[in-house]
This record gives sequence, C-alpha cells and structure tokens, in this order.
Amino acid sequence: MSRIWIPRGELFPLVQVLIWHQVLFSGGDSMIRFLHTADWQVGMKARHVAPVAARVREARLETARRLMEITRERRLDFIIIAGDVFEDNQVDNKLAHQVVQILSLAAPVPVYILPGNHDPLTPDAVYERRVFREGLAPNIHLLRTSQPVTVLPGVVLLPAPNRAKNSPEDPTERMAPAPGGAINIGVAHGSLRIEGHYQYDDFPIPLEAAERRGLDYLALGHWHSFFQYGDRTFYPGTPEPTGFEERDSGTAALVTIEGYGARPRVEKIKTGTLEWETWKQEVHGDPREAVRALKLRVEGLDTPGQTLLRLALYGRDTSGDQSWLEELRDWLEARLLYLDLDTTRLATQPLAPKLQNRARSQPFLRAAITDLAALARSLGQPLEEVEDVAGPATSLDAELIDRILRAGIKPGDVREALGVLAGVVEEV
Amino acid sequence: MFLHSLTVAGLRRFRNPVALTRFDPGINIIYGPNECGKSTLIWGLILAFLNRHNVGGEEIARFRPWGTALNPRIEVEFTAGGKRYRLNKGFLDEARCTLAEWTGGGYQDLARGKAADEMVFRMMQAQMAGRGLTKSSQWGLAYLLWMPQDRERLAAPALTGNVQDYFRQALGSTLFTPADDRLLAAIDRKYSEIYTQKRGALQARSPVHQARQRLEEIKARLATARQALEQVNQVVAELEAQQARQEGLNREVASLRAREKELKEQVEAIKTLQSSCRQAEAELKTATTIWEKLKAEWRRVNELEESMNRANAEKNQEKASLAFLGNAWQEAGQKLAAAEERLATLESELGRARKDLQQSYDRQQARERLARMNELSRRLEKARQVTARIAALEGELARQPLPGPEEVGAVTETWNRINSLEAEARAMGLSINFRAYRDLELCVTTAAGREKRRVGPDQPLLLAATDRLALEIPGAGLLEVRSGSRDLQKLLKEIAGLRQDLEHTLAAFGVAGVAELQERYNWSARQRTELQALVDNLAQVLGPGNTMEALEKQALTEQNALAEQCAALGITGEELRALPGPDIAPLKVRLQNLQEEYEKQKQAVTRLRQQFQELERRMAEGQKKLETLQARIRAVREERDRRLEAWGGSAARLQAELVAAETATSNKALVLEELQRRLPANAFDLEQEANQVEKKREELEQEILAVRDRITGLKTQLDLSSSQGLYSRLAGLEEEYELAGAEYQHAARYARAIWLLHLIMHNRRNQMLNSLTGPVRQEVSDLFQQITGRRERSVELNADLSLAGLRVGVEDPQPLDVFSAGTQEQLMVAIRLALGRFLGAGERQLVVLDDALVNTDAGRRSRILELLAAAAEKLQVIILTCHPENYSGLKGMLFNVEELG
Repeated sequence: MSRIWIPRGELFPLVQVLIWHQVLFSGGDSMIRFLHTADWQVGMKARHVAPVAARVREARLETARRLMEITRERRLDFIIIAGDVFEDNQVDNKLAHQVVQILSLAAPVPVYILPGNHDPLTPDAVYERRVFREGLAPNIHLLRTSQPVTVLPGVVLLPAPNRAKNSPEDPTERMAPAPGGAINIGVAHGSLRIEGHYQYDDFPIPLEAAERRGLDYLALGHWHSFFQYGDRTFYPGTPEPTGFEERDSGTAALVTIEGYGARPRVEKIKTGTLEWETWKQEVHGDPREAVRALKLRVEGLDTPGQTLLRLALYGRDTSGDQSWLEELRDWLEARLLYLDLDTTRLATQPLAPKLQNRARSQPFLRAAITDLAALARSLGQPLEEVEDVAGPATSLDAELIDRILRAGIKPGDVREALGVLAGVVEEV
Repeated sequence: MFLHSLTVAGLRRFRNPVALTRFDPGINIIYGPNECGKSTLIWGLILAFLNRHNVGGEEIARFRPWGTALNPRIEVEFTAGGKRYRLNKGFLDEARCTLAEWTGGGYQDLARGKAADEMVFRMMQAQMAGRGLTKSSQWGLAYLLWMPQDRERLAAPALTGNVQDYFRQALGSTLFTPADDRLLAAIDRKYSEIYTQKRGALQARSPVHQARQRLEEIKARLATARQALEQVNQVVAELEAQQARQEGLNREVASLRAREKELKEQVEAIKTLQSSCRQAEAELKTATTIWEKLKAEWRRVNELEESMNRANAEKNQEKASLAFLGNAWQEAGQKLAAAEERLATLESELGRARKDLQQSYDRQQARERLARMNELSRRLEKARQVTARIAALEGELARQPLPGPEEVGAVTETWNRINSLEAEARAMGLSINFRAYRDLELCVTTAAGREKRRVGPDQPLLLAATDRLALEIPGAGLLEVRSGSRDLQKLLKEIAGLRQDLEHTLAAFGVAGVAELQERYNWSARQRTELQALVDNLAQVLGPGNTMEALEKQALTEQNALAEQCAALGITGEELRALPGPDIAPLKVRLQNLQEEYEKQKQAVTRLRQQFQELERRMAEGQKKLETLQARIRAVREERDRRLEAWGGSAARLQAELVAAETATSNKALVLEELQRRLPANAFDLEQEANQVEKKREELEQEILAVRDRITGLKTQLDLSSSQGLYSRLAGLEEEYELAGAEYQHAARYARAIWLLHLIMHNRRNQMLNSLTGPVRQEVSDLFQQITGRRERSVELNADLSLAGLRVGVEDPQPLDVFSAGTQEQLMVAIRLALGRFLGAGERQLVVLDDALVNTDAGRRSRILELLAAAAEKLQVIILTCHPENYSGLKGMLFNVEELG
C-alpha cells in the first residue's frame, strides 16, 4: 500500500482536499507496490571464475544493497525474498551479519524472507543462528511457518517455507487457505511443472497453483532467470547473475497490485552488479582486424571493470606471429574483471621464422618436427601449420606410440611440445 | 694417418735413441722377446700423438728410464690428410713440441708448443686431457683403431666426442650436426629440470611436482572440509530424527497420560465398590456366624434328643438280650461237666494201653540185642582164624632170601647178554664141516667140554667153537684148532666177567641158575598175593575201621546191656531166648484208637468251655453296656437341658431365634450379591493395566529426557559448526583448488611437452646413429664370421658402436665375457679392422695390434692373416709380437727390437 503522506495543516486546505480526493477515488487505499526478489545465493561458490571468486561474492552483497536502495527510492510497501537468500546454511557468520545489516537498510519497509531449498528451515538453518534470533531489525521478518501473515490491512502473505533441500511435494499445498476480501500473495520456492524444466524432487509447483489457491500473486523463487507464467505467477530471477550460462538474470520484479482481484503489474528491473559476457570472435588471416573489433567492443562496455568475459577466438591466423594474442590477452585483462580466453578453435602458425629456417637446414630438427606431426596425426589432431616444414609423412614406431599413449600424452601436449621446441630453438 | 718412422729416446728401457725407419704403408711386424720394449714403442706413439708435451705428474715421470733423469723424446714422421709431417716431442724437463710439414725439399715447421699439440690432436680427433695423461677414451681415432696391450685390450671402443663427428664425416653423413647436439642438450637440460635421469620420475623441485603437491594438499583440505560438511548433514539428519522421535514420544506420553487417568478413575471407583463389598461381606459374615451358631445349637439340641431316644431304645434291647444269655449260660455249664467226666475216663484207659505197649517194646529190643551179640561172637572167631594164617605165611616168607623183580630183571638181562655175546663169539670163532667117507666116532672138544660124536657119509659133522676146537678121530689122530683173534679174546673176557657177576648174584639167593631164581621169585609173589587176600578178609570180618580189640570190646558192651535189660524185664537171658517174640501191632492199634477218642473228647470239652466262657463274657459286656447306656442317657439329658438354659429351657424359643437369624443372613447376602454384581470382573486387570501404563509413561518420559539431551547436544554441535562457516570455507577451498589445478595443468602440460620432446628427439637421434653404425655392425659381423668360420654368430653394437653383445643364432645377445679369451680378442681385431676399413676409405689409417692374437689358434690366425693382408691395401697395420713366426705369411716390414738397441 503506497504510503500517502497527508500533510497536516502545512498546505492550503484545497491541496488537502485534492490529495484526499486522490486517495479516495483513485483506489490508492488498496493498491500495493512491493519488490519481489529471490535467489540471492549469498556466499555462493565461484570456482568457475576462481581468480575473482571473492569479487563475485562481494558483488552479490552490493546488489542486495542496491535492492534496498530501490525499495527506498521507489517507496515500496514491502519486500518479498522468495527463498535462497543464502547459498547454503553453512555460510560464514560474517555473511549472515552482512545480509542482516543490508536488510535493515530497508527499514522501516518490512522484508519477508522465505527459506528456500539452499537455506531450508532445517535444524542447521542459517536462520536459527543468533543473528536471526536476537536483536533482529524490526523490519525483517522470517517466514518460518505457513501461517498467513498480514503485511498490511487487506494484504496477506501465504508463505510455504522449505524445510528440506529436496522434496517431491508441492510447497503451495502447505499454504493456508486464502482469506477472502484480501490481496493474497503466495510465496514459495520451487520449480514450475514445465516439462523438461523441473525434477521430481525439486519442489514441483503446478502451473495453475495461483488460480487454485485463489492468489492474486504467486511470488516464486528458484529459477535464476526472470520468468512469468500467466498473469499471476512470477520468478524474479536472481538479482546478480551466477555464471556465463545464465540468461535473463540480474533482475528483480517490482509488483503493483491495484486492489483485490486486480491483475498484477510487474516491472522487470535490472539489478546486477557484474556483467557476465560470452563473446565469439572470428580471425581471418591477419588477426589485427579481429583485435581492433574486440577492443572497440570492450571499450563500448558500460562497466568493463565489472565485466567477466568468456571470449572464444576461432578461424585461422596466418600471421605466423603469435605475439598479438598475448598482447590482446594483456590488453583485455587490464580492462576486464575476468577473462576466459579460449583459442582452441583458432588455427595459428606457432613456428617462429627462426624455427622454420632451422628446420629447413637442420635435418635432425626437421625430423623431430616430422615426428611430432606424425604423432599429432595419430592422435587425431594434425598440426597443419607444420606440414610445409615437416618432412614426408611418416609413421612413428608402434612401440613408441604405445609408450607415448601410456604416458597420457594428449593432442594439446603435442602442440605444446611444438611451442616449447620453437622456444628452445630461439634459445640455442 | 700412417707412419713413416719412429724414433724414441729416454723412454723406459730405451735410454739412447732407437729408430724404426721405413715403415711399410701396409704390414709392419715389430717383434722381440718379452720385455724387450715392443709396447714401449707403442707408448712412444701414444705420447707423441695423444698427449700434451707439457703433461706433468707421476704418470709421465714413470716413462723415464729406470734410475735416470733422462727425459722422453720422440720423433715421428707420418702422413695425414695427404700431407707428410714430422712431429718432434720432448717431455718433462725437455718439454717441447714441434710439428713440421714436408714441403718437397724438406720439413718446414708448422707449429710449436701447444699449437702443435692441438694440430696433432685434431688430426687424431683426440681430446686434450686437462691434467695427466690422456685417457684411452679420449684418443680419438687411436681409441677406435689401436689395440694396445693393457687392461682395456678386450674392451670394445665407442663413438664419443670428436670421433663421432669424424666418423660421421668419414661415412659422408651430415644428418646430425653440432647444432643438433646443442638443441638436444637444451632439451635434456629442461628435461632434467623436471624429471630424474634414471627413472624419469618428477623432480621434487620441478614446478609441476610442486604444483601437484599443492593441488594434493588443497585436495586433502577440501576432503576434510567436505567431510566436516557431511558430518553437519549427518547431525542435521539425526537432529531431525531425534526431534521427530521427541514429538512422537510426546504424543505417546500424552496418550498414555489420558489412558492412565481414565484407568485410575475406573480403579478408584472399583476400590470404593470393593470397600462396600468388604463391609457387606463382613456383615454377612457376622450374620452368617450368628445364624450358623444358632443353627448348630439347634442341630445339637436335636441331636441330643435323638441320641437320648436312641440310648433308651438300646437299653431296652440290651436288657432283653441279657435275659436270653443267662439261659444259654446255664445250659452250657451242664454240657461242659458231662464232657469233662468222659474225658477223665478216657485218659485212664489210655495210660494202661501205653504201659502194655512199652513192655512189648522192651522185650523185643532185648531180643534184638541178643541176636547182635551172637553175630559179634561169630565175627570174632573168624578173625582169630585169619590172623593165625597170616602169621604163618609171613613166617614162611621170612625164612629165605627172596629176589625182587629188579634182581630177577637184572639177572635175566645179564644172562641174555651172555648168550648174545657167546653167539657173537661163536660167529667169530671156529667151525669144521667134516664129511666122513665112512662112519666114524669122533671125540670133539670145545669150550663147553668134550663129547663124542658119530659121523658117516650120510651124516656130516658140523662143528662150531669159539677159540678152541679139537677133533679127535680115535685111532686116527687129533685135530686141534685155536683162534688167535684179539677181538674174540676181548669178547670172551667180557663174557667171563658177566658170568662171574651172574654166579655171584645167584649164590646170594641160594639158587643154581637163572630158572631157579625165576621160580623162587614166582613163588614169593604167589605167597604175598595170598597174604594180601588174608589181610583183606580180616579187614572185612572186623568191619571198616575196626580192630580186633574194638570188636571184642563191643561184644562185651552188648553183653552187659543185655544183662541189664533182662534184669529190667525180670527174666534171665535164657528165658529171653526161650520166650517167643511179642505181638506189638494190636497194642498199637488199641492205643491209637484210645488216643483219637481222647483227643476228640478233649476238643469237645475245650469247645464247650469256650462257649461257656463266651456266654459269661457276653453277659458281662451286656451288663456293662447297659450301665454305659444309662450313664449316656443321663449325660445327654443334662447337656440338652444346659444348652436350652439360654432360651429358658425352651427349644421353641431357640427355633424362633434361628429363623430370625436366617432371614437376616439372607438379606445381607442379597446386599452383597448386588454389590458384587456391580463390581467389574476385570478389576484386577484394570489396575494392572493402569500400573503398566504408568510404568510405560515413566519410561517414555525418561526417554524423552534422553532425547532432549541428545537434541541439545546436537544443536550445540550445529551451533559450533555453523559458526565455522563450513560452506564458505569449502567454497574458498574449491576455488583455490581450481586455481591450483589450472596451475598444475599448465605445468603438467609443459612437463609432458618436454617429456615428449625428449623422447622423440632421442629416439630420432638413436635412429640416425643406428643408420650410421648399421654398416659397421654388418662389417664387424662379416669379419668375425670369416675369422671364426661360424656363420651363425653375429655381433650386436649399440648406436655409439659400443659392444652390445655377441649373438648366436636367434638367441639374445650374450655378454662378451661368456666367450673364450681367444674369441674375445678375435672379435676386438675384427672391430678394429672393420672400423679401419670405414675410416680408411678416404685416407690410410694406422691400426696397431699389440700382442692381439696370443690366445688364437693356428686356423683362425691364418684366416686373420689373410684379412690383415687384404686390409693392408688401405690400412697401415703395426703388429707387435714375440712370435714373429706366427705372422710369417704376411708381407711387410719386420723390426727386431733387440737389434734396435
């Protein structure tokens, strides 16, 4: 319910009349606006971006603070966090304190927290810790039971807290019956029963749960992408993306319900702190073109320092000089928060000119390169770039091949050996 | 390189200069006895070509002639690379080196000192030693081609250092260059930074090893963290289970409490009812007691009445009975008196009969004794007669000596023996068969005596005698024959002894011959038999165990007894004999009849007396009973009166009170029955169930306490683990592991790349070396097979030409020391010749064989000489030997070392 500030005698009576008219005839007394968020996953692991894992975790707390700011800025009535505030019940105490401190920033706006499948109400629940038991800010409310909670007059929350990490039960089944004459908001954490998108023990929720339970809005959590089913069932997505593979995440739902029975209006707002980008860049012959394009694209990013980039280069580099690749890597790493550069599909010419010249004049060296090429062919990944240097195609001795295979040599190792050989030739 | 001349001085035994000039470009044989200095000459070459001129130390000093301060000096003329040189070298105190080249007109110095040394070293492909003498492995070409007489004589050379390049160039190969060596060395260096040389294991200091260790360390920490987290999950699971258990127990306790309450209420109601029951029971019991008491009293009074009535009836009956018994008693007394009188009569008759019978018995007994006494007298007489006969026989036997059976047997045996011996003597003695033409009367004399015999034509005379026979024809003459046999005399002597013994024995018994002795013996036997029969007869007459005296005593006793009996009977003996025998049988019959009648009468008296006594007893009893009944009637009456005193002596009043008590008891019983009907049948079960429920409830409450404690403990554990932030720690570790893993992967990939390069490049290098050494290997094998004549043997060389072994057939190569010393030295010669053949392809090379074939047989040596002769076309061969005759087939220069000095 929007907080309507009624001035008391400070303004002219006419203004007061206008305001009250607005209140009475615009239905403003029954309209509510709240923030629906979920899956904060505070304290999550980030080993896929291990070098910046701490930063990734810190970003989740920053995003949470931003959500509190949005709440205050937008003067919202309350906040619903539909599960998985924490990645796990065994997170560090420091994180729990930080979350409580962040949630208290929304005061006096009440925050309703539903335990999800990552932080269920098990005996070891993070919510059983002292920080959630003693001296909790008055605006923070933990939805420990399925008892209806009147958040505002005529607005009732029907929570279904999770008490386990997995369950085949529909959490909405545990909701109390929706009282009549009120705006009923169901809060649950689980997967909608959409074929191929849920598992049997993932707290499956029927698609028509909102209608069946007589809910004005079903605030769900669990899926990290923003998702809407029908008019009343919503996943707000995780407010901070968790990986490169996520789509449509880094969001929250700002919900407006005009009144009892009214169709909710949901605004998807971007909330993510970090940007998780996955790019592909083709290289054709001379790589300078591709490098230029990449640099332009990076410079076009709003916050490159907050961006994690997974970049895949593909195509063929005919420059014969790999120094550009290292330079590009250095350039990107200097600007981005994290770079995951994949060049496995980029055909390069690793043989330095000196190696090529030596190989032509040094039969022994040429023979060694020929052997490496033969080995690469045997392993199924030919070294095309050395074909013009290597001698006539030969095959290695079976015993030698066997020994190499037993040593666990992979095609990438052969390429690495070629690179090392080039380096050694440069040295001597 | 090959030699033209060699001059040494101041070198071991060669104090003064010794020159070997005009070396043949082919075969050169330097010979001489042991220790003449052949090997010293070769050492002259080694010092000149393969050691620095300024080499110092003990080793070079040992080359001075013994006991001198002379310095070794060597001059060598040789051709190398198509040019002729002269090398002049001095050592120790005269250290110098000059290399001069022949320019057509003479030698021109090319280099001196170290430069000269280095040039020569290059020519020899040798490596200069830092200090001391150069090792054989550094000799370059000389290492390959020279076979000096030292401990390494039978060691195969290997391609090392400069020789390898020279060899390669000699074979026209340019595949492997020094640049390749540097490349390979760089790879080897990198490999050794990561891997150990021996086992190819990771070096502890290598980055990949350290990265892996770090990874393992993080992995271990990660496992610990995961385990801790798993423990939390287990604690949570148990806590949930315990909480569920607690809830279940609480529910169960609540249920039990309700049931317990319900049961206790029921039990309480039952107890109240039971109390009422007990009270009613007590009242009933009291009423019943009163009733029973009255009833008993009533019953007792009635019983007393009845008893009194019965006693009166009995009394009357007893009186009638007593009257009847009195009559019977009088009658019985009369019968008894009559019977007793008859019994006395019978008893008197019986006494008389018994007396008569006794007298008859006594008389008969006396008669029997009389008869026994007569018999005893007869037996006594008979016994006396037999005794007299016995005494007569015994007297007759005692009058003359009587032979026993032994004496008779001995005499008979002696007699038989004499007859036997005489028969034998006769057989051994004389015989005459006299046939007369007319009847004659002869007189024959033998040992038996002289007798006359008549003979005629029909009656021949057959005479036999022992030792003496005389035949006298009366009127005609006397024929006397005597035996002179000693045996016969001995026999006759024995016969005479036996006859003497026999006659002595017969004389002792007073008989003339053996037959008389036998007759005497037979007579005595008959007498004894008769005596025995008399003794037996006497014993029979006396009776068993009796003697004559006993029998006489017995007869006397009987006589006396008879006299007494007769006296008792009042008769004499004579009268007794005259009286007839008594008739006892009628007396016996009469006595028996009287006795039977007496017994019967006696029994009848006894029976009558018993009947009389019985009647008396019965009358006394009846009287006593009558008195008892009267007393009882009195007592009963008194008791009845006493019992009814409480009711004023009225039985009716007692009866009325009894009826009232019975009614009261019935009422009480009805009340109790009603109460008991209301009491549930399972009252006891309910109480037991209540107790059980209470006990169960208490047990569950105890269990709840235990569960609560466990829950508290588990929560404490959870609080502790929660404060540790295990998940956050795990997240950090996993990320750390990821980083360390990436680092390890990077290092491992680099290590694998190095390993791969090392493997491939060494493999390739070995392949190349094998391509160079293959022809050498084949050449060595061919030469060795030619020398030994064994085609199945082949030589295996390593890539560096070092010897891998000797293969026989398809077997694995065997080490050289398995074979004989001759085979070993032949193989070494073959290797030198093969190497020389390849190295001499471009330029003639010097091969030195110092006592190379000392163990080789003549056959193989001749084949080696053929090979040496052929090799001499491209090689200069210097052979040092103390047996020059072994090399006589070779054409070339011969140097006698002894003549050089």
